Amino acid sequence: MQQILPKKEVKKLLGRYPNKDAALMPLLRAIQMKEGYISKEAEQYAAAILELHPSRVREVVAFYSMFREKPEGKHLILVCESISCALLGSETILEHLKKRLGIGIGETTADQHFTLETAECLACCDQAPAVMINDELFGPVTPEELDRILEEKQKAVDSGQ
Amino acid sequence: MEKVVLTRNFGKPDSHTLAVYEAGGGYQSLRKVLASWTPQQVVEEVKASNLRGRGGAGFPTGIKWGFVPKDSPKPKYLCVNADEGEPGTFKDRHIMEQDPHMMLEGTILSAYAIGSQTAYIYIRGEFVLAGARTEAAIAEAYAKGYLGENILDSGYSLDIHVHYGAGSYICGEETALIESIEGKKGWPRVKPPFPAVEGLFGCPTVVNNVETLANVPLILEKGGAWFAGLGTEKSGGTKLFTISGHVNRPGLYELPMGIPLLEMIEKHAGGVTGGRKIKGVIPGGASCPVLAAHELDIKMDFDTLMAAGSMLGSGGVIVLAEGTSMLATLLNLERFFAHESCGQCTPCREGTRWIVQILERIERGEGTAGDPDTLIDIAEHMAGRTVCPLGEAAAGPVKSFVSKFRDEFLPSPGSETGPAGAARHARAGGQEG
Repeated sequence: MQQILPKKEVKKLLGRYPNKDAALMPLLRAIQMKEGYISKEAEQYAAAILELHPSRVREVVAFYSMFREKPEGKHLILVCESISCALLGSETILEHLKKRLGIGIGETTADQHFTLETAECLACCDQAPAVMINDELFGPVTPEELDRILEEKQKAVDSGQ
Repeated sequence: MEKVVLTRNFGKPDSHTLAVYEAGGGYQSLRKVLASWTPQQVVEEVKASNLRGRGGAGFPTGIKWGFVPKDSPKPKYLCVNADEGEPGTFKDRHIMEQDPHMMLEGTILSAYAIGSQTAYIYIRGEFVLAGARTEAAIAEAYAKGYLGENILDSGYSLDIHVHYGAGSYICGEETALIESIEGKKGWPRVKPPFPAVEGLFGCPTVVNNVETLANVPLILEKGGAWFAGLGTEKSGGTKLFTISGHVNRPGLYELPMGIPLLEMIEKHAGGVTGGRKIKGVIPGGASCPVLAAHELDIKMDFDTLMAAGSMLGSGGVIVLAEGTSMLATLLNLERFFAHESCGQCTPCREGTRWIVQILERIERGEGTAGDPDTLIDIAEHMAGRTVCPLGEAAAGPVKSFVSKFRDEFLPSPGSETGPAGAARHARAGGQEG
């Protein structure tokens, strides 16, 4: 089986817990950070390392919404649509992004640059409406500002960054 | 801000670093306690402070610690609940981003108090900056000898690990959080046994919220009596309130426990946007029953809000201005709970879906005269009939919104139409987590 993570890194993760099972979430997180998503092969790999039945791994990957089961675009756009953002126009933001990118929620643009998702409260209600793009938080955003941000992201992808 | 305690370092340049925290007196409480205090003295001082849990339940912290058996041969664990996800709440993220050492010192002192040598900080997976700053602070604390073996030559040892969540609101419930650290899906456990007796890895465990622990260093520096004096008779200290929705200055405000709600909105958050009147306020985060306009003359503390049929919760105040559709607002809240129901208990799993379906039907103009009563009936069959409080959390808004704004849930809703709110929710009713 392919070794996705260096043995040293796996050992470090296991060392935080008194039993192997508990290292499952950090292991999946590390795999996703490296590969972008968790493939069926990666699930088998995690199960083998932790000596778990593969269905135990499957269950955890399916339960937690941040574990992604297919490759996504280079930029994952999360639009918060919980109450404080909704009160201040998250629906307008979402509609604008759908139109601009030509995709629906959960879809990726044909060039694999952008994936559009909605998110539950990102705990930045003081910046409503808020949008998270990969690790970066933006808010309060307007459709015009988002256009500018997306153009910058597009340029970054085009120039190979 | 009137009484700056928890936010004393916020806004200083590099406030998240060890150097700035120490320059402001940081880790002096740890030095003092490890040099001469017994764990029991720490517990007694925190009991005297009237510190109550800031995660939402408001349980007295010192009493919670007291439930940990002293004679157990098993290891004891402290879990820090940094899984902040209650819509309208963003205080813990600010603590971790701006002053992570305050949380860490509180964690070390609290772990010492309950005799724990391993602590886990459970951080929301989405908290990128808060997580990075917490990890950096932990590394600084190890390097300085505040963590690890034989801390400050006291003979006491503690390791702290960060465990990231992965997008699940229910993991903020303490037994779901424990399951999640054990590497499982976040299904809350049946209690008893309570975590204090049988928690993480089957061992005695305390789960405390970030803000709760952040209060501990100052309680031990200035004394429990000083802290108790900052608050109300039964609830010590200041409180971090987060205000959002239709206000001019949304944000984080450290204010005395028991501050009048209207003073908070008018004086601190700059009043309602557009000079509008207030239609309602959700006083403590999405799961707290809404207060109508005539109920806003109220003090913001655990007991007063409880007596008024709502909750202080996590202190997330959401202001709804005149013109807001209460149907759209409740639908937004209930889609959240339907999505975040873990699916374990039938009343919550099915009830939240039914509520969303009925509200969507009303929104489409296909409601019936019986819908308000049906909604309340479903809510009453959820509350108190589930393993964890999520059923209760989803029911409270239904009962309060529908009973206080009944007209808007009838077939011909009043003249007020939807806000930009209640965005379409592709996954509403979904059970994937």
